[in-house]
Amino acid sequence: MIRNILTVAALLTASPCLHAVDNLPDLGARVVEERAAESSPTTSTPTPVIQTPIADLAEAQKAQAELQALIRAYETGNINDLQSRLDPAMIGYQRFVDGVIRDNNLLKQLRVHLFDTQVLAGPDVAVIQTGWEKRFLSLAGFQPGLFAGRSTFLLHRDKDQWKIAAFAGDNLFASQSGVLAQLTASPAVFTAPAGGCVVCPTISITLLDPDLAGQGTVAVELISSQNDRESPTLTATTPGRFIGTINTLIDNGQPIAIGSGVVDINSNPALLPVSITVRYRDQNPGSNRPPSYVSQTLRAVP
Amino acid sequence: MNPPFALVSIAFLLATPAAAEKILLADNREVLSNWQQSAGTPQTAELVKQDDGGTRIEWKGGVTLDRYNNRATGGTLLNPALNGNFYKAQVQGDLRATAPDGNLTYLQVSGTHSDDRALQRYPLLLQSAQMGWAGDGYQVALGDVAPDFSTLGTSLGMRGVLAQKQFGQSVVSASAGTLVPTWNSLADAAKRTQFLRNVVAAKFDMPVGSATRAFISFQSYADDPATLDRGLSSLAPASGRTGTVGFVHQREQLTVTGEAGFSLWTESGQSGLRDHAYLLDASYNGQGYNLRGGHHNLGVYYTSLAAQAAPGIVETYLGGNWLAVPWLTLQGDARRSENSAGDGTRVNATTTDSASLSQTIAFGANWPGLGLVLNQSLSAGKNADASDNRNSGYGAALNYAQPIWNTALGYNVRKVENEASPTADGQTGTWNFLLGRAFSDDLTNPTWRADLQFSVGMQDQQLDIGDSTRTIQYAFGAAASRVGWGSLNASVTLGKVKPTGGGADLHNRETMLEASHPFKNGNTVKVYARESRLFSGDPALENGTRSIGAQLALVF
Repeated sequence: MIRNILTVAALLTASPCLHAVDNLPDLGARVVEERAAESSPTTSTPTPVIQTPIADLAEAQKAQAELQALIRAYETGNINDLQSRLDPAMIGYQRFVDGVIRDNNLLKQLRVHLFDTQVLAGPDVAVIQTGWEKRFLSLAGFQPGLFAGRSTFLLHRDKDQWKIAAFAGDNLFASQSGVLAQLTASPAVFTAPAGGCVVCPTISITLLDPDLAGQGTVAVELISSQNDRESPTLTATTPGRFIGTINTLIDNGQPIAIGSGVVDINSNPALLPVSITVRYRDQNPGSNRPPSYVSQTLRAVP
Repeated sequence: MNPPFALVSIAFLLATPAAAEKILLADNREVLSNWQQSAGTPQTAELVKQDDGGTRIEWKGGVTLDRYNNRATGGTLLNPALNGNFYKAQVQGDLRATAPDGNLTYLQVSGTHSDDRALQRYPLLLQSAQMGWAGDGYQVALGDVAPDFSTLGTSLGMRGVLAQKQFGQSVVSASAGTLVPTWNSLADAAKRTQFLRNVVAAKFDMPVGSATRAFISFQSYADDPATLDRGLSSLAPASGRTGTVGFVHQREQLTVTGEAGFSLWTESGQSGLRDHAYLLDASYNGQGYNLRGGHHNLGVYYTSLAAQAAPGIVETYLGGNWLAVPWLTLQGDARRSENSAGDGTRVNATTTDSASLSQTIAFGANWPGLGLVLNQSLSAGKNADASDNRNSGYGAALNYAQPIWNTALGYNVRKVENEASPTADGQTGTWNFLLGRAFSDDLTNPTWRADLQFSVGMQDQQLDIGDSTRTIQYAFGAAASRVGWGSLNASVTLGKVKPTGGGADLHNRETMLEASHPFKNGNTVKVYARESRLFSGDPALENGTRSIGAQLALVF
């Protein structure tokens, strides 16, 4: 019966024809079949103590094919098919599924591109490491967007089928399951004239955090070595991409006013250079890393 | 055979042409080759040396050479493909030596060389390299290793060493190495974008009674700040230490696993943060039913070397399958989840109650191959500010699958509401239809076969604010194969998208043609042409890729 469910899901998402892709020859398929026969339902004996140390090369291809099938289900928004390929005991299962649903609601025409893909297949565990790029059009305005990251996929063999057991690194499928934010600020170095400036530099900040897709604004922190602290608000342009600016006020003897909405810099040569750290607390930076600050440092020089 | 001697033997065999001459081809090679062609996939060649009482050597390998031309348009924001002529050479090999006493020594390598930077960032990408030896009660692996000690302890892939030794019914496992995205970035600091993370882990596993095993594990990791130039990483280097204890109980149809872990996580320049995690999972396979349930609780600062151990998750779930009557199978899942990572954001739920149910109906012997699947799901979440974050869906899929004809018709509706992001609230309805027909001289043992398939899909998204978007895709595919001749695949996909907020429809067209021909011993040659043009109708979004190429696949 379960196989019927999978069959229906597969039929509804099937490519219009079978087509061979540029895979290497299917090495050792017989071994796969033999191993599938070996993995009969568990007996009363606990987990085997030491297993065969190496899998056949064909297992790596099967594991990679399973990942590709998951990607196709994600791109086409076939949530039922995607769920059928997950282990229900996966930690964060519902957060993942809800994230996929949200992505498919917000991001249209999803296309995933993998590169630098490496597959390691053991007898019962496979690990796929890959870089990825995810292109999409935003629901609002159909603006093109691009997320990128690196992921590690852990697969467990369930009889003759590989099943995704966990995602590490940047989560490709469900944004809210953790992708490391990318923070950029410019100019990296700027001049703070001792006599002040008529038109002082403006600091531009861009934050890319797919975990916040759908959120309209986000606040970041600026902390200067002259003890100024500001918290500019960045505005979403496409899902998960936020931009904003903050002005500087530079003069010799410039008083430092925390929270004034501008970055005050005392350009007394004795107090330069000044470092300005732009930081953002990423609640879920991926790679199973606890909440962490992502930061970039700018410098104001004489 | 002791391990060092085995390795030397392998190196000797690889380096000495005379050794290859001693390897005899299996007598049934030709038979295997014929079978491979009928199966439609190339099979490995296998060289076997099995002197009386001697070590058996098996060598499997393959090379795939691709040469292709890409014409890509649209720029990198829209299209990952690059313009130009490219090549790709993939090589993989698997060498194993099995001694009379059963000891195994192996070397497995896979790599790709290409000048297509859309495919790989480095000319030579070592995809996997592992070697090792295993015997009665021990194993040692080097290179790419995947220690899978426990869910809260260590379960990941890394470059390093893995060793396991059995003492009676107890097992000691240990692993050490480096976490790094690729072999290339391990070898060359200029290619790194993150710190090298040095890791070490160990596990002691022992039986407790006849059906239970208990284990204890320790693991530690530390980013090496010296491995990356200052300023290249936006994250501070970090370190972590974790200890876990757990058990696995298996008795007849019942399996129960439990584990508890304690960790210390330290970011450079900050004080360490301690946290804990525990989990309990159980499953029972009864006659005609299966039950599963569990509880996971991972602190927000819990850290480990396990890919599964997502910090900040607390969840309880119960689910199962039940063959209620011969024509009806029910499948259900209910769970409550807390997500600490949602704190500090406005759009991510911090607590969620969810349930899903599906019914699979078989229409019996009078309607062979006919089935109906119904499904319903609900996820009701709360954001950090107590606003609602919900989604729900239901669907039906009718399918008919027989050797000659197959068809499927499906409809699915999903509604999404998030008070923190209301502009995307709305309902999406999706229709899918598929029809396929197979032709063959003999369906059970064909010498030739042809398949035709037509599908159409339509997705209609209606937003609560009044906007809408609609996508329609038509696809037609054909595949044909004949034993000894090879295979031919072709497909055409046409579609259009109505943008949210109006404007001209966007069109897409994808075509593909491939032909492959097998030679003796499983070698194949393939030529292919693919073209995709997306979103014509809006110059700002238009992009496309045309690829023409040939591939030669050799096994040896």
